Amino acid sequence: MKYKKYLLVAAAAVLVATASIKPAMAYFTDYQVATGYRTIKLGDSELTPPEDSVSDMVKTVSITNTGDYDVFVRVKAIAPEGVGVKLNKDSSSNWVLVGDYYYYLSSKDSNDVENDGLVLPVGKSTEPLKLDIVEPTDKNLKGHNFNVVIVQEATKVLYHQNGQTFADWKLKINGEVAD
Amino acid sequence: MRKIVKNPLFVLAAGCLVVLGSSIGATRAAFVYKSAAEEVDFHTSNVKVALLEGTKESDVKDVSDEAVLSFPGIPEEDVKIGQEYPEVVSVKNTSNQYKEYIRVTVKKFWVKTDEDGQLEKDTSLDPSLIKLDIDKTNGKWFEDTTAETAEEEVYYLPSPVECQEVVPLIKGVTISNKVVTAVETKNATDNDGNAISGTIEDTYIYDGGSFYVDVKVDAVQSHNGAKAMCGAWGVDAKCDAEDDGNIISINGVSASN
Repeated sequence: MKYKKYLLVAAAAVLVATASIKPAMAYFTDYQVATGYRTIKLGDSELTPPEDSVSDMVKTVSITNTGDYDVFVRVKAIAPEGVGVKLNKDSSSNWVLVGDYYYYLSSKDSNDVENDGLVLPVGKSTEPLKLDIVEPTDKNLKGHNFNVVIVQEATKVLYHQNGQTFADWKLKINGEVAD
Repeated sequence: MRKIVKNPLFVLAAGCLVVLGSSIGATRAAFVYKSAAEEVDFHTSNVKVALLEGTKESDVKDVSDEAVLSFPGIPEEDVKIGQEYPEVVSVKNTSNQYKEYIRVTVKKFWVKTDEDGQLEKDTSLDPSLIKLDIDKTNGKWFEDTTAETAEEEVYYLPSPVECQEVVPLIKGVTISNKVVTAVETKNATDNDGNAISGTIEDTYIYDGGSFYVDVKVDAVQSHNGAKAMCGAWGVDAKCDAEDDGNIISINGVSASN
């Protein structure tokens, strides 16, 4: 029976000893935390219907950006067979024909539609695009009524890491863009 | 009397009394009057660390107390997608006496506001589109790739940081252009919520989302470094010296990249 007594005394001693150890065995440490967030907005891009008018067979087009953010714009003129569409000499030099589209660019000598686009800020309108409509010369087509359809397109202004703007006209929904 | 003393229950009770008695102490002290001037501020130096934020390395401010990253270089409205904004996050050894090993855990994810206006983590959005430009050049941060997830990255400094030394970690933040390619196509509805037949509507999935960045810096003493890192952080560190040595590897990942 004697060992039982020693056991109890020993247990009590251990209890007292452990109660006073705790913090002394830790290493010196410290930490800090900081968090933050910022919201991004990706509204729809919206353009007004093109303000176009025809006088003396010159079609004038101007586009206004009514969306939430800056865009690049381009215009395509679809004309029936035999009808010619040409850039008028009085047209703003910002409009440059590249491929099938008239692009709104910062330089008239450029055909780099990706990097030289002129940003159309929110609420602003483009310089007028003037197109000469050339009536068909073919006998069979002459004298008939025809329509020239103006299609306008816009794409969101994208940024390279250095802040330089660029346009991705091939940007497809759910497609991949280069970073 | 002898019998009571031998009773194990009595011994246990006596033991408990000793334990309890040891914790009373101060409450039995007599009333003492003293002026504040007599007090002695007596404490040991500590290992301390701070987080700093700014737009460039020369204008960083300590944000440890507020614990908030305010992104001073990023506009409140109209965050331009694809552009790198200046956002410098640095760490500083604020101890007066001790060198320390420092590691930083960076978490990034997307949050959206729920109906109650509370921020809620949205795990369907890709954290890799939040690009943090980690300064790996002069600071020589190296990543413990074994701890890396899509959301979380852990970086270590291979040498102990001197007292009052500031080391930049993040240099900039970019939201990838890919966020504009993720859209959801739905049937369009008019203002009353009725479907407009034959018309579809694309909405940007990331619209109204917020990128969330969480930076945690840990510091540990440089004496007995490998064991201290193991004890405090639970990582298998190898150092070239017992005290103040350079880290050779963490969890098997070499510090020399």
